[in-house]
Amino acid sequence: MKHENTNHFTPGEATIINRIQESPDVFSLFLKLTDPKLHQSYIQAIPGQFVMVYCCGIGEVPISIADGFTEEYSCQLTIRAHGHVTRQLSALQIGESVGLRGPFGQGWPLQQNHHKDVIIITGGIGCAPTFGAIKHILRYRNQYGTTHVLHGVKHSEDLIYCDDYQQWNKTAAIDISFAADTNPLPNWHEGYVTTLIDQLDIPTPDNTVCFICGPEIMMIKAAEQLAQRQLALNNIFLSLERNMHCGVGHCGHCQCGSQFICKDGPVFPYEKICNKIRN
Amino acid sequence: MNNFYFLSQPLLQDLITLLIKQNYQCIGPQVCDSYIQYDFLSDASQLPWGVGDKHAPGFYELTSTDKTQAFAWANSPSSIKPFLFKQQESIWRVQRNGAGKICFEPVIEYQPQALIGVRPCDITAMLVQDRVFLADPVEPRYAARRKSLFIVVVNCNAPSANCFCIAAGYDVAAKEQFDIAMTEIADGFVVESGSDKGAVLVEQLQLTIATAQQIQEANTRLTKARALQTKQLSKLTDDATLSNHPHWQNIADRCVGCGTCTQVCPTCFCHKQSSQETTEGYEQTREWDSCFAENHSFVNGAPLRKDTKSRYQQWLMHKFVYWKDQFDQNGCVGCGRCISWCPAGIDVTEEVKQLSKHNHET
Repeated sequence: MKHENTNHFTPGEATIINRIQESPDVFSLFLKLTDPKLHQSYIQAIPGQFVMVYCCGIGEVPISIADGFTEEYSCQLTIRAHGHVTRQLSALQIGESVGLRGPFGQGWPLQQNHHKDVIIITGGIGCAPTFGAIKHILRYRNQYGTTHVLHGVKHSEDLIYCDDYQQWNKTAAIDISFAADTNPLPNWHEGYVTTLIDQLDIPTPDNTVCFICGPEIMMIKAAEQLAQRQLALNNIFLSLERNMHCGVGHCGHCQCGSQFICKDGPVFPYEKICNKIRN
Repeated sequence: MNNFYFLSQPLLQDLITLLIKQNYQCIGPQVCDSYIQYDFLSDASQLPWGVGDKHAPGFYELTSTDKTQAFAWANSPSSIKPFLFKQQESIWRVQRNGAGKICFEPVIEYQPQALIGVRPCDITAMLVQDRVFLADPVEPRYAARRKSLFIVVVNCNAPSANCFCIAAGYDVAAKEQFDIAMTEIADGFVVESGSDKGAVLVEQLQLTIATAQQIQEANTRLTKARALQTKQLSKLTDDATLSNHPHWQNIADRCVGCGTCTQVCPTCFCHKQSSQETTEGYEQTREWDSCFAENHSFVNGAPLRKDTKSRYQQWLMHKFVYWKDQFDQNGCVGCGRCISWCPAGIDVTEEVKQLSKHNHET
């Protein structure tokens, strides 16, 4: 997807407008690009796309856009402090700056799937790339059919976006179910999120689309279960993750078969990549 | 562009001098230690006169040959790739200004270069890399260097035993994307121009039209060169049989995972980025990487490709299968460098042949 004024190779400065600690090791940064043209270009960002975030002096990491453009900020990024760069990003305060390149890649095919029932299945930090997709469905609710969200975490303490999930569940516009390996809350399933798929009613599988994001093993299992429930393999979408340096299909690291995860993905129809990720 | 001209050997110096006068940094092949390397060229005498090369799997040696010939050799280890896609360079810099903000500045460094004595396989490889770096988004450093290049091809009279450009679908004579192409004959070169810039140079050198005999001699040499190549290249189909082929383990038992193949290959484009400290701030450095490197496939705490077998598979499958889906052509140009420079003497054409067999008798 080509945007005028996006910066593919050189970062633009972005200031941290707001920062939320979502859970002990997960935080959200609300970033605004200093250059007004770059800031405006994020209006076209699609949920599921990603950016390369630069932490000064440390390095760059690919982070999915959790939520998109408002006048106040170019994008919201939800990040798990796990590696070298993300731990340093986690120490940054409001008012400090990072570098941003993007948005990159193919996002969730929301526009292409109007009037379909939607199932969103996520695990752990994998909920972040779907956050904007859920908000989009709620914003344009009558363009989509019945929508289910299934989200799994290791421990209920790991749940992020708690207020949003609670609010959405109250509206009954979408149906949200949770699973935790340990310490499930009341009404939660104890165990894997993929178990919740069996309990899901899928009345018209050929008119249902599914977005999946989480650990690769979980995504493959979920996709296979949905295939058994008669969903077409090109109606099941996964968000893949690989080592990324350039974000634009030049450095070669993110390849999975003939697909560049950064530019042909990260969102893929399962049919396109199942032979390369299923072992 | 169909006229052929003759450049006598003494005029080779005039060619170089003219290009230097036009502010090109002239680069050409020279003997360096025990191999041929492309380096700064100011004098025609620096070229590898009387030098040939002998290649075999895991073997490369310079030989002594006819002293009137400067291009009686096949190819150099490094190709012309480093002049367009640099081995290491800074791509942007960042500084904190007085107000605590950070300012990013792209770094696009290049100067016009004239590459003299480029082999046809390296032109083919350049066109392969064009599809990587000149597609959307266009890599600005590659594009700037590419645009300001002056290319003098010397067609290939002496392919090595490892060469297979013909089997790869190409030829010992370049057909496009050069400013001047030359074929060496007994006392000079039969020359054709391939661009306006090339035509101007031909005129400035006041070259005479080549005689029918000279053109014939050039064609004879090229025909003989084609016949010297014996390697074949089988086709591979990406399917379960290929993924699970037992021959991958056979290769893994011999491959030492050094990645030399990726370093001498003129089409490999993997590179890594890292942050380096400078006196004023930081710079982002890009340098060549290799899919054989331990952390090339690092994701979520560990490399996806943990062993030599999976890494070799990635390299070969990319070169001969995935590249076609990505860029509409094979990634291999048949230069044979990976065969010459592999310390284990692995011949990629032999491996592809085994992998293309469906009965699992190896």
